[in-house]
Amino acid sequence: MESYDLIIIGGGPAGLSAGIYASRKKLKTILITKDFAGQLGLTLWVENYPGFKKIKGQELMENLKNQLAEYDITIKNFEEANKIEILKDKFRVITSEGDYLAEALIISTGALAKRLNILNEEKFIGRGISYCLTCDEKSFEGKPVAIIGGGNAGLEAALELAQFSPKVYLLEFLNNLTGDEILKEAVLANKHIEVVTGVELISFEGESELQKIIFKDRRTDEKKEILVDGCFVEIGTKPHTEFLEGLIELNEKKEIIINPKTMETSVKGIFAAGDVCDFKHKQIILAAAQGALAALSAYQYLKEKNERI
Amino acid sequence: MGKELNIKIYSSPDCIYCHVVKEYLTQKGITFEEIDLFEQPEKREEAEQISQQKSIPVLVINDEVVVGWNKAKIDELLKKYGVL
Repeated sequence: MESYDLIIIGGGPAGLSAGIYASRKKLKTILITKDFAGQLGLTLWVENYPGFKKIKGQELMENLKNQLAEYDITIKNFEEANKIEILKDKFRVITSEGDYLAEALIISTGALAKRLNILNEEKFIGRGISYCLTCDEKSFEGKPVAIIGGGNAGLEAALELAQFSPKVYLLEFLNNLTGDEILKEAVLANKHIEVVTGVELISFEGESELQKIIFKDRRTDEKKEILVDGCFVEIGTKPHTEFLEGLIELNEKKEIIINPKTMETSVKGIFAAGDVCDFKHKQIILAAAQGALAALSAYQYLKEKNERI
Repeated sequence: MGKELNIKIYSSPDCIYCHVVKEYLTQKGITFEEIDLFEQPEKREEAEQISQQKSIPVLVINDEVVVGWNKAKIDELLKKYGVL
């Protein structure tokens, strides 16, 4: 079984930053990831990462990957961590392809897009409903579309789609939009976008393809419908922590509880970083910073544990 | 010895899952034909007809279709044709 000082699980900004910092400390490190897509890869444009005025999410991800590849680190792409076992003084990570041992772990498995769980959602996935704007936006050029979710991702999606679609509905459950003020102003000023708040979705309808969305106006209880060809779901994420249940402490949202000073979890030697963790304001820059902090804390932990480092 | 494979992928430059699928096939040493829908938008209808969906990537392995990044399904087909 291959043995390392540090195993990083997850290939988003947190894991990649952790990899850079760990490599610079000359820790024998392996980064294991099921892929390099993640929330950053799904982001069309990033406009709030210092040093880059405007950069595609995919390009920023490539930059991080390429920077990490410059270092002496083992990278296992397309491997999914399925289980972690705590041994006497090491951790064993069992993946879809093999087993690895390490003295410390950093978990940065990020978060996955949430589903709506409303009637006919499954039926119309790929037939009008999409969770990947960058993949599918061009399929709806010139056609009316809806976006579910009034946070930053939803607002950005609305502005993007308004360039190609004559009518973009932005549907939000709350009575107000929740994204950044600068995005809200742009959305509200865009004549192609109609913002509808206080929306409780009821169902998606159509024959073989999506044709309409049925919802209730939460203020009046009135049932309404909009006719659309496409619908993009941007209602946030859920942490990827199923494989950690019973191992480390999670909060009620199944996020990893961390000590924000060190990024250490409830298990000594296991650190966590990025969107998988319990903290407010999930942002790329915060994930990257937490990855760096987790790697430095892991280094300190290993140094204290083992005089050879 | 596996059966002869004919693989093509309908993709777009901004589609992250298209990149992931291409990277996966490349890592496995599997060659494929790429149809870039940004360069050839007229092929989008063809992709939709083949997949009966509006999503990409559309991966076609000997007339069998996988939409999106579905590693389990791709592996199943690659095993079926003897390349995994």
